[in-house]
Amino acid sequence: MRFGFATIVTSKLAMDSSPPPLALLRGAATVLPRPLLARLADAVVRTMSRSHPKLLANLARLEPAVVHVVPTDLPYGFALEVGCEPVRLTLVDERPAAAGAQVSGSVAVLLDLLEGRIDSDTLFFRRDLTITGNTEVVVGLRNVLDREELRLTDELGALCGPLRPAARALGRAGERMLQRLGARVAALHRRLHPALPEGPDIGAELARCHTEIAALTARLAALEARQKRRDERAA
Amino acid sequence: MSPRYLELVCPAGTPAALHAAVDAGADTVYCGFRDCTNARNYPGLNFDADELREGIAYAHGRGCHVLVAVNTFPPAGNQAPWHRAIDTAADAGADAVILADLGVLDYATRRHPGLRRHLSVQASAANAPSIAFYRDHFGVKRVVLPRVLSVEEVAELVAATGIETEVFAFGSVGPMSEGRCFLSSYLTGLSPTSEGACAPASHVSYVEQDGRMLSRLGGTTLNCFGRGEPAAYPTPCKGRYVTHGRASYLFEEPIGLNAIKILPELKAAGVTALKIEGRQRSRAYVTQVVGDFRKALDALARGTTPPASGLKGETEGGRETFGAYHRGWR
Repeated sequence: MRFGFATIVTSKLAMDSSPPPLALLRGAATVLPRPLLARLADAVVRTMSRSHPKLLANLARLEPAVVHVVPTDLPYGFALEVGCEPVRLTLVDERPAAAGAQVSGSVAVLLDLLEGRIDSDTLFFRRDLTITGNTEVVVGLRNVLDREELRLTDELGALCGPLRPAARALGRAGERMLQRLGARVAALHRRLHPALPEGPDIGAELARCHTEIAALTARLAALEARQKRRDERAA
Repeated sequence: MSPRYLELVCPAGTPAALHAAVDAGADTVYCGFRDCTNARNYPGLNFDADELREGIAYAHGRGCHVLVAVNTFPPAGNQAPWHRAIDTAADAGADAVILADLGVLDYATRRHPGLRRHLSVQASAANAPSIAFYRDHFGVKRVVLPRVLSVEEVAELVAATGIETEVFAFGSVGPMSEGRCFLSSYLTGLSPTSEGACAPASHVSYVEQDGRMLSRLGGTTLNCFGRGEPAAYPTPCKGRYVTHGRASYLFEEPIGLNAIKILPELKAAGVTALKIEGRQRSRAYVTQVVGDFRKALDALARGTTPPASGLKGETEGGRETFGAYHRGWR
């Protein structure tokens, strides 16, 4: 069997499991003009209807609803309309009046979830993911997404057509550059504030104390109940 | 290759999760149909007939078995979906069906005598005469034991019944008599045993309030989590109730079962298989949990010490327990 160069490149791309270029995606999502981002979101959904037809069909089969997806580190959110054909993804500044549900978390968390790298219940237990509104729609959406192997970068790359390998290489280079830039800014920040001691994370410490107190209270109640039962039996 | 230490039975809520379980080292995968015939009837979850056939082909091609759960209870006058589910599972080449209802067991026994039958935990068979009844009348080959038994009680049941036992190794801690979640029925008006969900998503809601999160089931607030406090499922058995002016977990705390450190005890008790719970969890969870259990079982089969497990983050409330295995049923 003969493999052409294009086949090898395509199969390598398909098997790529490197982490997504988060800094680049977050940066682009912050600086690109809103109309361009809106068209990009629309184009990604249209591309996915070709690359993942089953996913789109399953999304269309859900109860009709609007799910408001809110990345907590971006200045806007997305409204995903499911249970209709075609499924629509639009950029929104505020929660749409008709939104049936809201899912919020950082870009990294939402991307991990979309691409199946982390379990949503685990994120929920950790409070890294917040769900409000119609839980049934969110559960359905989560289950439908988890059926598919998705890579947002692959979908974005597909928009570039034959220039996809070049776009991917450019994306990787951009991500490396942004990461280096981020590290430099952080180092500069540390140098500018040398007197600022690295104090403990008060918020995390408080949360830990809350958790521990809740657990101890619960255990105490259980012990008291057990003792009461024993006393009653003894009496 | 080392001999099998214990059979690892893993969940698959979707075809992708089935692939993940098989690839991560499951010996057996269990799944169900997209309807009320299985006890994890959540939107977007489960298999249709074609997906089951494809899943079975994938698993069998890699030496893995597939069990199909048809483990809810048909209401009066509507047994057809359950019978259809049994027929479809048999036709697709399932290695066994997991059943709970007497009528469904009877149908499977008569219509598909060659199809292996396991007794679901939903049947809540937790004593020797009960298990012996299912064994003798319906030729049940394996019983999935409820999570209310200590290791000693499991050993006694194995000795008394002489059939294969499957026990929960990872997942939720169920303080209720399994499959009889009356509190959930009371709050939602739906029956977990006939409609297939103990906290149906249609009745669950979360409300964010000043950094705290309220979890509700059927309009009843079951818990209030402080800022940063690990959250739990909105199930009535894990609710935090106020009694004598103080909020506490009356039935069970939000905590997950993890028996990975007591596998030798379960093996010594005569257990055949370990069940990982979580058909409603994602394929990432399946990969992580099945992978860790696979490594532990392989190490034990070689006679070496299992590597440390890192599954605490996957458990409800971020905490782990041996459940009733060490403390009995409280």
